[in-house]
Amino acid sequence: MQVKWVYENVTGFDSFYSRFNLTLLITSVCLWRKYHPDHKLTLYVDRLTFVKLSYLDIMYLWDEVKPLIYNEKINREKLWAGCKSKIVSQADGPFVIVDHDFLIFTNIDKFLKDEVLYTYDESTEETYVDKNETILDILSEPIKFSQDLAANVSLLYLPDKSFATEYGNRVLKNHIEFTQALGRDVHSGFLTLSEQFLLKEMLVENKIKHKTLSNNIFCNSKVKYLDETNNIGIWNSKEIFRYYKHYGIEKRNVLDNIKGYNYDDTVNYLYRCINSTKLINIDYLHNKLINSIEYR
Amino acid sequence: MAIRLKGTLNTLTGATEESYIRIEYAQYRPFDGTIAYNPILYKNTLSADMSKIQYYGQELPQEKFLSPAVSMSLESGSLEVDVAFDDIIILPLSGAAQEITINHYANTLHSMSVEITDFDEDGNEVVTNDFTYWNEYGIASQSLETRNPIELSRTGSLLEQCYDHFKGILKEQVPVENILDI
Repeated sequence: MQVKWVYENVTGFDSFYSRFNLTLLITSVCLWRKYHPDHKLTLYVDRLTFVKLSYLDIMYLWDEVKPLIYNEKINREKLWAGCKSKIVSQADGPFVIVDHDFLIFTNIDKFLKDEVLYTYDESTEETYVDKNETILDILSEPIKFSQDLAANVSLLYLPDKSFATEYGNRVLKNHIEFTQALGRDVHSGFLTLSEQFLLKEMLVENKIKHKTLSNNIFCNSKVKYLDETNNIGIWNSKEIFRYYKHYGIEKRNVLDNIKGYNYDDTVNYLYRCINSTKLINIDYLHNKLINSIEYR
Repeated sequence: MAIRLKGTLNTLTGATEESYIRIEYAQYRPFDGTIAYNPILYKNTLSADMSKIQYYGQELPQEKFLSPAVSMSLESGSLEVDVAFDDIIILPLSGAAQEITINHYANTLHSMSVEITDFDEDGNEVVTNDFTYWNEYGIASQSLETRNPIELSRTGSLLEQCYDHFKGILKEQVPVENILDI
């Protein structure tokens, strides 16, 4: 199975790189390899990120590192996941695409078959662009809003390359049109609408079978799994905490050490995860991160 | 339904002995537990009649003959007092004082114990307990206090309640026998 990570410095500034986010990326790939030793892991990066990661001596964690060639006229700082959609649009077979802040703690090969798989369904009230926003009329292929959930794609498995290409290209087209219409006023609400809500819409509209890792629906505004379930999930509310972790919007809480989150404890936990894979010496990595990355 | 102040009412538009104060609208506002109403002063019944339509579809009068409800004085016998009232008056829908439980709302941090996958120093998988946290806006605390609860279910005519309230305001300025229902 092909498994892909895409990491793009969307600002072009060195401040884009933080020790926390890079540690998450390394943990993500190390844990994936620990539980899926036969998978082929690929990292797509822009030129700046390639240089930065080279300093850390971590490129060998992936089977191959490829340049991210992505020239679409998109406001990348706000629609920062467009690079992922670009890679999705270039599918040449079944593949998994994983976010740098998604960690897996078990083998999921038996779920990577004929059905689309993604992390969880999330509720769209409060955090998504409202369907009545008139700006949505500018899309050459309008979103129909036939249902009200969005697909969280921190892990996304697409078994059918033609669907992957269609989905990836449509997201890119939306991003281009939003950028043309809104310029600097475009915000990440359009990203989640275009990427995550659209995926759920396309799956439901086209009656494409799909599953989620979590049976419980996630609420972004509360940052919690709801009691409400979608009945297409694999793991129940107890199992999800055992088998995967998506940091998502909790990253900011960790960095800010807000009540309930602790930066040092979280980094030490990630180090224990990396250490368990025996793929990299944790002291060596720690020194590299401290010496090469300015921002925590 | 209107109110007349008995005596000579001196207004910015001249003196009158036929003052006519009509509440032009009353707005029931459950969102803040009040009724808002606006009493308008006319120099006489004719001015009041000319300032409203008589039937549906009638064109609105070209002019309204109201007098500003400021800098007024009322003379009646030996009485001479200043009179004033606001254009918009708020009538609180407050009930009788009673001990009630007050909810204090805030963003509160909730936590739940969960089992997560962790690793020991040798890299062995261990299941440990951790907490997951989330914020929710809701009741943060409660207190028992003596308050006047909002009484949204008042029965009876809104307009009558407004006139009664308005007369209460006038009674603070002029003797009750000078406040006439007309």
